[in-house]
Amino acid sequence: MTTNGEVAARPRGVRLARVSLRSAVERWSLAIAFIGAFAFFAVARPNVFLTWANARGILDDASVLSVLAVGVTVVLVIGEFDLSVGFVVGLAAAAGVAAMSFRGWPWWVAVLMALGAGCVAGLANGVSVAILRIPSFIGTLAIGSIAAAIELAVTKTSIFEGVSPRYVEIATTTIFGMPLRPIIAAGVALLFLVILRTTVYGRHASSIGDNPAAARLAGVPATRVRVIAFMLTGLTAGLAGVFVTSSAGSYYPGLGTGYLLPAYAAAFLGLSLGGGLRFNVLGSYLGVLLLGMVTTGLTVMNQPSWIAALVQGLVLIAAVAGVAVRRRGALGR
Amino acid sequence: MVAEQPRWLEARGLTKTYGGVRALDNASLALRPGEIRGLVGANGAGKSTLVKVLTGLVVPDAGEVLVDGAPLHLGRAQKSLLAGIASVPQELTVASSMTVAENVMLGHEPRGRFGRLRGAELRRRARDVLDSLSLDVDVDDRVGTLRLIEQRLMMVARALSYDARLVIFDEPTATVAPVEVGLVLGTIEALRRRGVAVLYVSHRLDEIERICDSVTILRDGRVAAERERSPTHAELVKLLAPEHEALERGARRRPEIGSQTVLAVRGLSGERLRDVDLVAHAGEIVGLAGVAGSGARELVLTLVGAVPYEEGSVAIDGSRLAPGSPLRAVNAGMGFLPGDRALAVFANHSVRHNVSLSSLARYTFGPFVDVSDERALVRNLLERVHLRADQTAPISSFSGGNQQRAIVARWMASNARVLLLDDPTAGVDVATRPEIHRQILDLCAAGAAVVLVSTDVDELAELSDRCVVFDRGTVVAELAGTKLTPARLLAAMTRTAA
Repeated sequence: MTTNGEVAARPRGVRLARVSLRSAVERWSLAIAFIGAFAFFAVARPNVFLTWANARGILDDASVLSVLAVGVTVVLVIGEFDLSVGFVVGLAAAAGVAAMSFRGWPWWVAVLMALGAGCVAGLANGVSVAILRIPSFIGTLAIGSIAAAIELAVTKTSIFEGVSPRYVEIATTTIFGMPLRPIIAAGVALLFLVILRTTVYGRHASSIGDNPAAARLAGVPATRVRVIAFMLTGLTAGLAGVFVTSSAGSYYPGLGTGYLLPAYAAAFLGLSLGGGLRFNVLGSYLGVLLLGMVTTGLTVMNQPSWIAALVQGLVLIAAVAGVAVRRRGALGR
Repeated sequence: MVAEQPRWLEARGLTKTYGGVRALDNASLALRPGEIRGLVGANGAGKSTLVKVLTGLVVPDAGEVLVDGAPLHLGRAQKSLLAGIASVPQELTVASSMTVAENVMLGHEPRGRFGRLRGAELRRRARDVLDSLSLDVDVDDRVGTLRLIEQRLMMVARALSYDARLVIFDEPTATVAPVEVGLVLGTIEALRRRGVAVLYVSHRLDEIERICDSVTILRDGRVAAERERSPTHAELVKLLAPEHEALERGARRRPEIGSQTVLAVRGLSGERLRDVDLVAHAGEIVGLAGVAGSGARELVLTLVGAVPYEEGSVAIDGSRLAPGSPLRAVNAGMGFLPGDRALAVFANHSVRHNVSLSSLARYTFGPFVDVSDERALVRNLLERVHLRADQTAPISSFSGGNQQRAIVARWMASNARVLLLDDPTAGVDVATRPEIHRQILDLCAAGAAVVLVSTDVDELAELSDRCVVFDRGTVVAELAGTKLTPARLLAAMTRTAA
């Protein structure tokens, strides 16, 4: 009997160890990929890639996208989509620059105008989804189209400058050698991390994302939580608009296009971080840095730019497929 | 007359197990042409599993179905349909933007060369079927414009259009107004005249008495009894709920029910409710009984704010509650404990988060959750519901019964004044049932008023201080004291109001 027990116990122990190692690898796969990619480029091109200037460049380039990825994480947490972010970046950029070059208002009013435009667009998204009950996929697309229309009406598809020098300093100022934009982006990520993890609002938001019907029946103020989520996302799109125009020193048409897909790609990469299989701010932030690092690294290795897009697509498919498999496993148990 | 015909359909030794639970246990059934067979039994007795086997939606673990002596290929819905077995489901499955003719012939439209739809032929065949059922609807009408009862009877026409030899009805009158029940029963008579057999699944025993030639009674997946002649309503009640007074209602210790009215419902009317009055006192358990669609469950969903109401009032401790807002209902002291845990449990969250969600406002500083306060309160509550668990463990790692305990703790945390229980022991194993029952009694002892909806008459009779019986959206009877027995409840629930 004792022998039987021992025989039975041993493989079980081995199995447990293997399972926990596997789950640890799964849990940290994003971080492992991040370190792996870093090590690869560091070894391949040490004298170009492993430089302070390169690290600074990657972080500075990633600042717009990391703000947006962190922003869309909030709507993903409540189980919705915001497909208007790219358009709202453009609208906010136009609002900010127009305030300075049409009206001659100071730089800080321009920033407030851009953030305000993002907030209002977020409010419109929130109302259409939470109150008018339009599925977010189509509702935010419609609001995005309206935002693009307003942007065009204001700017008439022309480039305009007349940006105040102080406004440009947002992009050029450095603190201890680090540009201001990635510092603000990291601060926003930290702020959103705190909101989602430690506040009553964050608890309510994740309960809605987990089980909307149960959240409503448990007395969660679902409408308010949803509207605020879209406003927070809109706010980050407004900030992204400020980042883009302060760096360019001007407004140019179509500056918001091209951000939507990589922002969601980063958030979905971030889904694989941690054991909960949930969208999380840290994961989205790391996802942006990983994508940025891969792009820069491949450029440094003199690969054509299509290789970077291809690798990004493959990484995203691998990450999301991995998550889907794990989720099926979790349900099977 | 019917008895002389040979049996064309025979199901033998059907057995089906779902995760250790025997849904069907060696069940058999044989039907003659034109026979109307009643199929009755409590919830979970195996009726729907039997129906699903016959219609090819479920493959049994053992047993066979013979049609004209030849074995039917089980588990293929199309094979069952071609063999002449059709069913009219409880839920309407119509394409409401399409015409009556298109709906009746859906899935086997007459086709010409190259798959061309033969519209005239389609309409003619649909009209024939409708005529044979004496259904007076235009084949070109959009189905969405028909009355609900007409849509339901159109489903019968669809079943018949497959040259059905057996039509299975699953609770056809559950949500049908009394004056329209005759239409349904008339349609069934028309089927009998055409020599079509009918399997009539219903909780309404008086309807079974009225139209069925024979009855099969299922209990725990087995055929408990079979009657060649339709028994009377009283006999059926006796067969379904053998009189057992051994539940010992008096044996359980109940504190005095307070005289204080906690919940007061006056003249409540809405989509599925008509002029409902209900009062619940502190420490009282009020049972709501009724078959599916009777209004018992609808009342609870209305009280929790999931469904709005049109007229009347709901008050907790004298203050009125606005309709259609779970947020306001919860803030006013309502708590909802569904048996369907998908409506209460946040599977990706920890036990702690699941317990504290409805009472977060009680431990905050500014916008933040005070986690140490939260931890202490949840620890305290988990002890009260006898759930020894790591607070940070995901709730999905617990059994159904323990998840239910966590939800009980949630409403203890929010100091709920009225607890609405919707089939709290549905899908809970036999061992956990008494435990949940004890928690319900504990909640009462703490001064809450409990409103309990259950499809299980034993549970209602055992737990309730008073039981209100619903039919078609309104209160039809109230039982209390020694009159509150499972048999009397069942009798009151299953009698169609005149």
